[in-house]
Amino acid sequence: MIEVKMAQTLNAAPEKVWEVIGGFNALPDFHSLVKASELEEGGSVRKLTLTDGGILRERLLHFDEAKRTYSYNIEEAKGLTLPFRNYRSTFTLEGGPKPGTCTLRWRGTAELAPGAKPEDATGFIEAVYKGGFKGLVERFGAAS
Amino acid sequence: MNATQKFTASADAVWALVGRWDHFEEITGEVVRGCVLERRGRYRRLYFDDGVEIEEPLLEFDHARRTIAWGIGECRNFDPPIRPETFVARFTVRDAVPGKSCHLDIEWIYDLEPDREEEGEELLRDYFRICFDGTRKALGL
Repeated sequence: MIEVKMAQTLNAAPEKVWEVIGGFNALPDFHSLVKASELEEGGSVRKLTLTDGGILRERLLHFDEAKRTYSYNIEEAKGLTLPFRNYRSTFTLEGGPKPGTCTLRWRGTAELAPGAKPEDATGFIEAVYKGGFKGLVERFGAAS
Repeated sequence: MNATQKFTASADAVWALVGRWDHFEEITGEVVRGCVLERRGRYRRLYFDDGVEIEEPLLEFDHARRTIAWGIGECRNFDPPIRPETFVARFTVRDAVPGKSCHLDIEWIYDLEPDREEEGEELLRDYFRICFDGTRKALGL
């Protein structure tokens, strides 16, 4: 199994950032690699159109507003070949090290697809997370 | 306040219906005329007769445990007997005979406005009936 864990501290209060990122359909608002998002199945599935034209369909597995966290998996990928399968990710926003800051933690686990190298899988996932962090840093600023 | 009813349908089938955050009118069509998601899916707005609107934040969702919970936010043209900031509604679907029958548990957590306790409790009891009857109808049972 592969695991990727990344975090980004932002120069904004958690409630302000959660207002932007907490909706399951919110990725296009801040993620540099996601062009569009459309909810399906009553809001529990999002169909993401990526900037390279690929399509991902992701299912919401768990959501907790009070803890500012949600988890999802990838149910389908079209127009791109994923180097992993059985991917599950958790996205959690916590208070940061100083007042008025917050830390977004993004963790993903998956199994390698047949013939794929671990670095291909971790590199793919890291690029996705970095794309999200990039948009948020541009919007809120990074904090240490 | 809690209530449970058994359905002769699989838990997956009932969850596919009651777990739909954006189509609450499917099971509450007796009173809810429309349902629209807002704030990128974090909230939904329910539309009732007489211009009444209720905004509801999604509080919890667990696909594996088949449970969904929400609260009450802004109310327009409606003065609820329930204190909105205290309200939590939670629906959970549990297997009875796997694949064949299940229980739908509905829980309301709330504080009522002073001197409106009777009105509030009657409203919530009626809402149990609306949700159970609506679910049964939507499943064709």
